[in-house]
Amino acid sequence: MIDPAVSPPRLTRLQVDALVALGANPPEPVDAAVLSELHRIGAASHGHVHPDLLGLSAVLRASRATFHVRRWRQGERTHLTGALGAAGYVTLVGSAAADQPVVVAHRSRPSALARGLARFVGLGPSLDADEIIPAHPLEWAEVLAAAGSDPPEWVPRGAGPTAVPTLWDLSWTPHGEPRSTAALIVLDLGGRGCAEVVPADTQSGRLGLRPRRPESLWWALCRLTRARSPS
Amino acid sequence: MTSGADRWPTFRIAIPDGWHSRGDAASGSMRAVPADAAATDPTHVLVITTVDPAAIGDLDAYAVAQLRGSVEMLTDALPIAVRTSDGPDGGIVDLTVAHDAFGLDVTSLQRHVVGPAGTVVIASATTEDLRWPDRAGELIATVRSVSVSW
Repeated sequence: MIDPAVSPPRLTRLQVDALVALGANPPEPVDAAVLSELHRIGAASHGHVHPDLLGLSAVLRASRATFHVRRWRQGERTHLTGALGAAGYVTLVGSAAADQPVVVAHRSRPSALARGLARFVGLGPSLDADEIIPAHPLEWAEVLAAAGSDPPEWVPRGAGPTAVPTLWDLSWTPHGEPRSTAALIVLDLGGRGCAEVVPADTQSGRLGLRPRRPESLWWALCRLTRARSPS
Repeated sequence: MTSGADRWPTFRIAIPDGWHSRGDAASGSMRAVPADAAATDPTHVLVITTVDPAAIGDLDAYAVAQLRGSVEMLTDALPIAVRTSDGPDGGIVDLTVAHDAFGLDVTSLQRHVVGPAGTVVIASATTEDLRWPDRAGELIATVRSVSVSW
């Protein structure tokens, strides 16, 4: 049974879409089987969205922007998708498959999004990466391998969960735009340095690693997430 | 602006043009805000001194302790960066922490200047995350302008 006040609910993306439809005024049609399941788990009652999930529904119905973060860590990829609106922001974390449960969270302050995303990607104190990262261009597979289960030699080894290299990318789509208008790709070497992944050779598609301090990544997240209301 | 008294170190900090400041030599502290700051605007610079030689140890250990303290004392704190270096007036620890402050989402900067006897002068600046992209440069320059005579 869902109790958002106790823990973040786990819903499928299909169920989230159904909650958004139910939250419309007037409510929009919802697949009968999905609606039945929403009632069974307590996310809906008598055809209405659970009161604690109304904020979530409101953000997803009228968002200023949507975003998608992919995070690779020890070879595993986790998706975070979400939306930012006047009623806060919503994140869905887990599989990208529509029928797999994801962790759903709603925060009522839009301005908290930068911190929420920074926490998801593991942004935090880090050394300078200048002397670690390769100077030569890399293939995407090589960048990906740095956050894999068997990283290449140049990736420093460390102990503890915070020392695990992470690769993440963030795409951002303002309301009304057909495609994402901003992207940030970062390789975080587990506290031993951060680098932004940038195009190095447009012909070969190879990528370069540009050292970045966590402060500058924080600045970029703050700037990106302060989306204004659609005009 | 400078401040100081017999038992406190004297500090100097470059307050941005147009900011209002108030020194308090008795406690070795000072607060400054932009002239156009609203009552709810959390942007400010605050300089305080603390004396606790036993808690300092080496600079890296002090930095880690300060980082942990921030996480414990601030609401929903997320440490962004911590750096140590040697400055002309003593050891330096720079901290950047994002956190909740009474319902506002803010970024706080701190520069700790650790003196030879264990006295620490801390310059701190805070602003809303939404304003951070515009104000970071000015606030970083301000907290890093602090100098101390022990």
